[in-house]
Parts: sequence; structure tokens; C-alpha cells
Amino acid sequence: MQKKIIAASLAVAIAGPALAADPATLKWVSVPRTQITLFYPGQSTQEWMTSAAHRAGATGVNEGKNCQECHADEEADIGKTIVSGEKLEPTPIPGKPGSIKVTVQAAYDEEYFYLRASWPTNLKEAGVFHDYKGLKDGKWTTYGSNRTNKDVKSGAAKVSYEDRFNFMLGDNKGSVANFANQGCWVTCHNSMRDTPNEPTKDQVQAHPVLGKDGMKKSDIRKYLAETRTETNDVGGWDKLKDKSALDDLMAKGTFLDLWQARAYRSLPVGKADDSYVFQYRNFDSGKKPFDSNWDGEKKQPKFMFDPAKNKGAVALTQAQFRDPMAPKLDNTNSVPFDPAKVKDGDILPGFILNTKTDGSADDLNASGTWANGVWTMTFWRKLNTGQKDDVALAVGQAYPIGLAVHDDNVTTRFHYVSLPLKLSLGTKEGHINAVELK
Amino acid sequence: MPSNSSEELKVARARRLWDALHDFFKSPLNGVLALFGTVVVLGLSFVAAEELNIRGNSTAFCISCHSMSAYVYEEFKQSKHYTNASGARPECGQCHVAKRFWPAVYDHIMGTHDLIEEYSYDWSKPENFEAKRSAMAEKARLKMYNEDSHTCRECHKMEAIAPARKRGQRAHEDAIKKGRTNCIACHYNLVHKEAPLTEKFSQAIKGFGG
Repeated sequence: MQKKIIAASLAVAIAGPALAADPATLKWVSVPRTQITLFYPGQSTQEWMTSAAHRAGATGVNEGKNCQECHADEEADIGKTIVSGEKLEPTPIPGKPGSIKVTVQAAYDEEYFYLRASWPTNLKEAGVFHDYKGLKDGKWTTYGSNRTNKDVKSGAAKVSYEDRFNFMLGDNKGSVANFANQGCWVTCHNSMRDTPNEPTKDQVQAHPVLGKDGMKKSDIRKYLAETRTETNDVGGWDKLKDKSALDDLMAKGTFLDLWQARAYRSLPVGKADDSYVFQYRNFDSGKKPFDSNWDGEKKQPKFMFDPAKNKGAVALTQAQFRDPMAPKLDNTNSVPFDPAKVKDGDILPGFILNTKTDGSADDLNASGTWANGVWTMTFWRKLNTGQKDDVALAVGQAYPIGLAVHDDNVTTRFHYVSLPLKLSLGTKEGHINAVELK
Repeated sequence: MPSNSSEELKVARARRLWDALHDFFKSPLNGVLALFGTVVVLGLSFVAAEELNIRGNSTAFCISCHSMSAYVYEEFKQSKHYTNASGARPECGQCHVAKRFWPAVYDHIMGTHDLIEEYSYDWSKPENFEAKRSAMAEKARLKMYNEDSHTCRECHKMEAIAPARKRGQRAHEDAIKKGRTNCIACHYNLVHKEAPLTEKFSQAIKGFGG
């Protein structure tokens, strides 16, 4: 009972405003730390991993070897090779290091599971910014975005994106067959965003299920090969199984839980982006911590600041760009966008935050602090949320997991990732072993 | 009868030849000379055949065909088997032709098929080569696999290999432990341009990944 109270009070304490000091600090002192090297994966998709380009590794992967069996302790070397553009990276980011070291701690009590990660960032400030749109010559264009955005690359827009800590979790029954051995690579395919053979926006929109008559997607994100009738060198993004087959798979738990602590789009509202990878990288059901603030049809923002709550201003000024003290647009300080009220040079966030999350999208809490060049981000969630789009955890069990970090204004595959890892709760069989909080 | 007389003529000729040989070998010196002559002729034939083997193994010989010089040779030049710290550089045949005499003769006879292929297609078009690359790679890989990669091991001694990377150290330690030392089963994309794994070759190397 006392533990429950502690957990509840902790949740209340941390679900406060953005970047508050982590109240869980005291608890973490007794929790063992594991250092994991995350490395830059480039375009090493699942299709690459099982192809002749992976040489003898392909035979190993196809015969059920775990990546760790060949590559344990090689993470830094692999990252260095790929990030340089020597292989698997057609668009290298100049000066980007090939790997980072993340310190991970995990714990649980009667009701909750806690996961904390900290890492020294390459960016010498908290990466708590994201996409911004700016009004230039009467037209809303990209003002700030990630390093690989075309406008940023061309110099038309500035660099601005959020840092992230990501956690992928499979169940302990091997429902996603290859996740334990192949890690996050089971979700990463040719034909996805920023990978070889990426389909065009028109091609995706024309797809009967994924496109504008169905899920309304315009690009391809993570998916499981289990959800396709066929995957090949091209990827197989469009070869979706039919609905009843997909429903059966989902009911059997053939999906991966994906938690993303987003420094701009979720941490300020005390949440992580709770998603799952299945036939697409889907958001959990319910109201999630953020939504797009871009009206694609009108080519203008959907919301602007309520001047009554933003010192009379409806937008941010250029001086407020990448200012950590600048307000973030959310449901409490916004009004519908009015083109008559903005002027050239105004900036508006590309996303709007939701302080009132609900449903399954509400059950994953997160906090983060950046100090002295180090991010520390924490997730906590009920061991079993009871939701169909979450993987339940139980004490005494072990689970396949993967970790990733988006560092220094990058998105999509320009992250650092772990080899396949194992998380245990209350036993010592994992790479990361969660201990009971006493 | 004319047939009878022709038959008789043949018998008479044979008898004359036999008599001549008989007379010739009456002298032991002549016998020794004949034996010596036979040895010399056979010896020279072997030397000539071996010389043909050696010439046929040479890179210079192989690249006298367009299909070899324009594609696989250019790829070879980019590889570590062409330029490396030790300066060791094999000739084409040192990898692709058996080491021992008769197997080498056999390989060269079979190799005449390449000559037919050389004149069967327009190799000036890279797409023609690429269309056949997978099948050609499969053939070369299977040949090496079926010969237990013995040409590789003429130079590379398994126990003397010291891989620089951890993955190599682990793989070689495991290979020695399990006795699975058929080089090509793992190193199938080594010298020439990457070619995909075919079903047949994948089946052949089954078990090498575990």
C-alpha cells in the first residue's frame, strides 16, 4: 500500500510543468546502472540485414543468430563507419559522431515500471525545440526543422528539432518472432521514409488502405513484416494483408510497444508519445500529447496563440526562435488561426500540445531534464495498463527490447540505436535488470 | 576374287611392318632409343600441358576476353586481393582453377565454355553482363564450395588467420570449433561486385550461419 502511495505521489509530482527537476532522483540511487552504446544505423534495414550485402551476417540472421553474437562491443566501430558515409549512408551529416553511451536504470514496484536513461548530448543546449513555420512574403514556409529537411539543407530554413529517448518493447511470448534476435531492425524496411526505394507521396496516398481513402498516410513509417503478404528488396510497404488477417495478428499480440519521450512534443505535458508498431507506426488510441498545427489544404497553421494569454501576441517573434523560455502552443493558450491577425516575420510552432491526454495515449508518463550537457529522461507506466495496444510487463519475466536516441536536431533514421537487448524484471538474465523499489 | 587379293595385300603389309620392327628391336640399343624417345615425347607433352595450365591460369590470359577485362577484372582491381599491405596478388586461376595437374586440365577444358559465351553475347553492354551476374556468381560460388575452397586455402591457412574485428574473431573461432571451414560459405562477396544470394547457393551453405 505504501509503495502504491509513493508511486502515485511520484506520478503526480512529475506530471507537472516542463523540465521540472526529476523528483525520482532519490529512488534511483539504489538502482543499478547499465551503460549501453547506441550507434548510428544509417540505412541498415531488415532487408539489408538479410541480403548478400550483409555478407556472412545474412546467413547468420536467416538462421536465427542474434546480432549480439557477432556485433557485441562493436557498436562504436559500426557507428563510426556508417556515419562517415563509407557505407549504408548516402546523406551523411557532417561532424556527427557515430555512437553515444547511454546509462540506463530500470525499476518496478507493485504497480509501476520505471525506466530512466541519461546520455551526454552532442548539442550543447537542451534540444527542446521542434518544427516552426514562418510567414515570409505573405506565405507560410518552413522556418525551422530537422537537419535532413530539404529546406534546412538548402539553407532556406534553420535547424530546429526535438531530442528523444525511445524504447521498443516486445512481449515475452515471442509474438513478433524475430524481435529478440534482430531488435528494432524488424520494424525498419526498405521503402520507408528515408530508406532506399521510398515511395512517393502520391503512391502512398493512392494506396487503398494506407492512403487518402483509408488511413490517410502520405509516407511509410515503421511496420512489421508479419503484416505484409510479402517483403523483398524493395520493402513491400504496399503489400498489406487483408483486414481480418491483420485483426487476427493484433489479437495475438503481434505488435511492438514503442515509447518516445519527446523533448518538445510530449515531455512538457508530462507524457511520452505512446505508440505501437504493427502495420504502421500507430499512435495508441485516445488523445495523444501533440497534434500537427499545419493545415495542409489552406497551407497555413491551424492555431495561433491567444493574445490574451501571450502578452498580446498571436505568434512568436524571430528573437524567440530556439529560446527555451518562449511559450509552447497548447490547448490552453491557443485560438483558431486568423490570417488577418498575423504579420510578415511571425513564427508559429508546427505542432500543438495537449495538456489533456486520455485513453491508452495517456498511460505513459515521462519527464526529462537537461543539465550540464546531459539529458536524463524517465518513463513510468503501470506494469499492465490493460490496453490492447500496450505490452504488459510482469515481475519475474524477461522481455526483448530496443533503445534509441534522437540527438542534435535529427529525426527518422538519423538516430542512435541499440543492438537487440533483453530487459528482465526481478531476475538477472537481461542486459538491463529492473529491480524492485523498496 | 578382288576382295581376296586386297585382303592378302593387307596381310602382306602387316607382316612386312612386323618384320621390320622385329629387326629393329633385335638391337638392344634401338630398344633403349625407342624407350627414351617415348619418355621425351610424353615429358614434353606434360610440360606443354602444364605450361598451358599456367598460362591459362594467368590474369593476362583471362582478360584477353572482353567479358573478363571489362567487368570482373575491373572489380578485382578494386579489391583487397589486388592491393594489400603484403603485396600478395593472385592470378585469376589461383582462385578459380584447381591447383593439381589433372583437375586443372579438367577445369581448363570446362573453361572453354567461357570462350563460347564470350562470342555468344554482346558484352560491350554492361546490362548484358548484369543480367547474367547472379547466375555466373552462383556457378563460381558453388564450384568453390564443392571443392571445399581449396584454392583459398592454398594461401590462407585457417589457423594462421587473425581477424582484426571482433565479429571475425568470433566467426573464425566458431568455424574452427565446428569444423566448418569452407571459406566461400561466408566470404561469398569478397573480390567481385556484390551479387545476391541465390536459392541454390543459400541451400548449399545452410548451417554455416548458426
